[in-house]
Amino acid sequence: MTSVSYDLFALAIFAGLTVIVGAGLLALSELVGPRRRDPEKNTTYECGVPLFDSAREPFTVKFYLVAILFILFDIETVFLLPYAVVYKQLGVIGLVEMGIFLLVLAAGLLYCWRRGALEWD
Amino acid sequence: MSPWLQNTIFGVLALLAVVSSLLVVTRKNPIYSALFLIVMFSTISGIFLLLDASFLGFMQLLVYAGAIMVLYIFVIMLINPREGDLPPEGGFTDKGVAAGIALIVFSLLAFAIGKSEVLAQLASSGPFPARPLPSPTHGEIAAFGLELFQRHLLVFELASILILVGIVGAVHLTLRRKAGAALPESSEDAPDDAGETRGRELIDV
Repeated sequence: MTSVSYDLFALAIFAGLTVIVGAGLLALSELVGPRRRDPEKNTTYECGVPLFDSAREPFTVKFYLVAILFILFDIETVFLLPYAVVYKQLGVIGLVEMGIFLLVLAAGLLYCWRRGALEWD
Repeated sequence: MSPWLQNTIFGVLALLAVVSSLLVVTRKNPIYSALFLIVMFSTISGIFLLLDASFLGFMQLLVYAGAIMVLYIFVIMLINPREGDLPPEGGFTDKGVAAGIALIVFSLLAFAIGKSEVLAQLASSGPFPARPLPSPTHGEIAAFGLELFQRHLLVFELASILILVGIVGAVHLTLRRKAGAALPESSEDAPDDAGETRGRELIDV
């Protein structure tokens, strides 16, 4: 057994326990818990405020812009992670590579900024 | 890990991946499809981990099952399809064309994988489906980094261009403004004005 798969074995135990505990608690409350339902209890919980209408309403595209910008810069971080691990081995060349990469993305950030994509209103 | 255990885990994950993919394309409610897609991404992540590709495995989970899924759900909520709102499903010809395209893509992938060097190495080194990559540290983050920044340098730099195109495209599509509209730098003079017109256009979109 290599060390990598040993680490993953620990992770597998953790994941397995998570599933067992989660499913077990749900099953227990389903089996043991009392079940007295009435129409009032079955309504969607909204902090005691009566519901206006369905939650499935179209919403502004601004949320989508925030989400997609998050993902794009998230992927930038994904590339930074392996670089942070091997930057000593790569030396100056690696620094230049990463510099170009970050510069291109900084141009993207600047574009967002100048277009006002980072503003909410 | 014994080969038997590895094969069993691989079999379970592969089966789950296929079943959840089928559920993705057969659900009527797109939100359910998206949820089954999360299951599918998780099984793929598990297969990566099984192959000792820990970095890819966790990134698959973080980026795909985490971030990309949020985008999918946002798109579903933006389009906001209701029951009966969706166009009727395509007829026999449409399904045939779709199946044909899927078959072509599948054959191309199968051909490419079948020709790959890694597969030849794996096949010569033991039982077929679930063998770890040649060296146990092959999929670790350090090995991945060295490979990426040395051998696949061009791909790495091109990725930044791809992300840049994504940024510009996303901003351009969502923040549509009339030609000749003031840039934010000059909007300092009249911030309320620019903000208001921008807001109104967004609601139109």
